[in-house]
Amino acid sequence: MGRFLVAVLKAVLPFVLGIAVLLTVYAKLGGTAFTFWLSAAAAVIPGIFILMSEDIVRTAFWLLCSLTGFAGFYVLLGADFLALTQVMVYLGGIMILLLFGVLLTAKDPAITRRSPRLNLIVPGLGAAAVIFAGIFTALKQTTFVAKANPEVAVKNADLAALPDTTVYTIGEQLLSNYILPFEIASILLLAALVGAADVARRGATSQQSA
Amino acid sequence: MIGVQGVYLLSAALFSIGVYGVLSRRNLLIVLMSVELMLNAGNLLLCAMARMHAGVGGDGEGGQTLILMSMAVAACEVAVGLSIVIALFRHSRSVDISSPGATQLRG
Repeated sequence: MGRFLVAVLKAVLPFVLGIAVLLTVYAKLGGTAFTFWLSAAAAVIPGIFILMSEDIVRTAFWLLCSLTGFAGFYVLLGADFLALTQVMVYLGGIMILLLFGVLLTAKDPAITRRSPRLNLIVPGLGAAAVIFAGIFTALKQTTFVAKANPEVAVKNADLAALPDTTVYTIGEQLLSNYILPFEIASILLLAALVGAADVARRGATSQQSA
Repeated sequence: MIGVQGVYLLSAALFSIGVYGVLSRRNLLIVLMSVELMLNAGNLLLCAMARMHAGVGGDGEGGQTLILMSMAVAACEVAVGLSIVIALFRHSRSVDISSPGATQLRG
């Protein structure tokens, strides 16, 4: 009985402690800052784990965590429809596709345990640093239209002021102003679907004939 | 830091994480996942810009509609990329970027 209690405590305690810490941080920071930092942590930390993880299934699940963080940012930026789309398209669709890919290519024995070599790490780090610096400088130096209207810019930069729901506007725009891109996207999706099925099947037939 | 500018910084950081993943990982599936991360970082920056410029000029949620299109293109990209990876795996029994089958893909 004592050992059972210890096991239950060991299982439950991390969750209780984690929720307690989160609630304390929430009370201290307030809703907006809390959501910001939680989404940032949920997006960036699993993103770094994607680079480190040796097991491909775990990598896929770290990507899932990271994409959830992006959904949090969409909520924070007032794009409620996009947050839902992110969850449905990425977590529901693309993650399943990637996991199917992992399942179908799981027979490669060497692949999961092979960590990156130095001749890949150094150029990777260099390019990542250069691109980060480039994007950051570009964002800092560019005079955006919003900077020309300081009141609007200050109002829009405040994340605490949540705008109204955007579902109605997006739906209206998709079927009026943006009807052509909408139709082109549907044709593109169909073409990609047929093309992907064909490419994957062609590999199977050539393997059978070989 | 907390504000739309913070989102700019984070999307730049996530994009460079994706760049590092594409350049340094050797499993094609993880390369594909890193490309997804980069695409999402771009979408996030687009969303932050749309929020920043709401009511400045043009129509309000045009940026968010654009992100929807971008997500559709990302879905296509994953489907085609995965089918190529699976075809490559069927061809050469490996998804390593330095495997003989993958290096034949050059040019």
